Amino acid sequence: MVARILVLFAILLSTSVFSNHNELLIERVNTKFSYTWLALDKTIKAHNYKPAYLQRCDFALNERHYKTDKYRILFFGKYDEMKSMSKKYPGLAVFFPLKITVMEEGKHTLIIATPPITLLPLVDSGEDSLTIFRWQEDMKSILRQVKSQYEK
Amino acid sequence: MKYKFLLILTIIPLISFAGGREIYSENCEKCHGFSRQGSLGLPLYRSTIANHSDRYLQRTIRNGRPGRVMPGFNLSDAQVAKLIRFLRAGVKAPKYDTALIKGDIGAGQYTYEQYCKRCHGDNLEGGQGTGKNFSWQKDREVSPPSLSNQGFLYAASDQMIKHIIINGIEDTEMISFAKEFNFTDQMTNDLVAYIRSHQKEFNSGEDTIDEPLVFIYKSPHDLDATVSKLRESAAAYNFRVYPNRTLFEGLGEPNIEDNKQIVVRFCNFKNMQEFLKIDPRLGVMLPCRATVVENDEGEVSIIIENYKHALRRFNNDQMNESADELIQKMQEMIEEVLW
Repeated sequence: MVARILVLFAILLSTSVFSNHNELLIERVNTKFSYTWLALDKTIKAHNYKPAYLQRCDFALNERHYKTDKYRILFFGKYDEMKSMSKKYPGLAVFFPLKITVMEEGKHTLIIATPPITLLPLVDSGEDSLTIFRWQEDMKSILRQVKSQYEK
Repeated sequence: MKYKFLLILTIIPLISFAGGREIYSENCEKCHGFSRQGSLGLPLYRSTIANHSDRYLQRTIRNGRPGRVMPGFNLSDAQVAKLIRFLRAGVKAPKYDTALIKGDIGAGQYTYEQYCKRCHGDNLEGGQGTGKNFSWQKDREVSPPSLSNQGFLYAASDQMIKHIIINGIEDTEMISFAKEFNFTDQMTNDLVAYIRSHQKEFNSGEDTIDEPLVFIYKSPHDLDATVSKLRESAAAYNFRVYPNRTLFEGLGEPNIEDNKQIVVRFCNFKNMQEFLKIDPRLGVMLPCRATVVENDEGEVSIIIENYKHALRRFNNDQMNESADELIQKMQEMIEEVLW
């Protein structure tokens, strides 16, 4: 138990010192939207999360003179874990499933997510905080791995 | 042993062996692009950087532009130096005197209104939207920077501003006002004094929001009636309402309990497109939703996210201004459901 608390403390310290937890997580992927979308789907599964559904946000974007209509959101999560967390902390429900926004930008794609550690104020036990830290690390890892698949 | 291991784990990220390119790749390219061509952030062309002093770049990297998308970065002195060397790509750093330029603020305001306002805005607030974005329609290739931004005023010396007004910036829409409009030394000094008059005491600290992350409302109705009223109310407030989803739809085998957590999703497309013009990262907040939950005691609650917290992550004041109305609309909508 002491070891777990120390690990939590170390993660907390490193997170607060080395990154601004209020910023959006963003990665630029050096490939087109369709390839990024496939890579994201695979990478999410490789991290043992399940893609749940997608939300298209491209309604009439082309007709309104936007340069692309490639704008989607992918929702994903872990059923048992998120179910038990939302039962314990109902406020968390509005943030489930987790999501990543995918938007085309010329020959590149941007993938953007809200950092899960912003949910920390909603939980009150060290154990549950660790779960949120794990989501944070997984989210960062997913974004980085998608990016790294198309690095020059 | 364990403690030593933890200490090492904590210290390792402090030690950086990365070069300027790696630091750029890690921190900057997501917004400024692989080739520094600009995207969510402004382009970082060599010709642009050639006008910027080291002091300006250091302060910009560390403090960013509060309310104008660019965050500040917690990089060490050595990392900032490496990054600046990379951005300069061999171009010598200009040196500017840091003494303030004296001028007539009133005359400077007149010059600003005649020549600068059409790009930099009535109140020096800059153009709408984010830097240079390839994906979204803009009336300009690059969103003109805010000259009243406190991060900018803290970083830029008067002499640097004067140099840019006189010479312009190559490869950008910022023309040389000395060449094109015969600006005199006095006119330029007055204009710099007017821009400088917008400076306040710089505070790079974050403002905290003294509000909860979520709003939870107890519903007097049962689950089905609450969901139904919520849908009606959203439609009445000009939202397009999507089919309901259970909270964990698509994540696991459907369970009877899952029908007690319903997500009502809705969107006003006109608002969405307006927001997308201001900041294409909007997707992290989409779609608007309210989650209706029935607990084991049969009590029904409506839970919505407090978007003020989400908006803070954009560091985009234009979004904050436009979103206040939306947040109020959602709260009124829920009030009607609970009546």
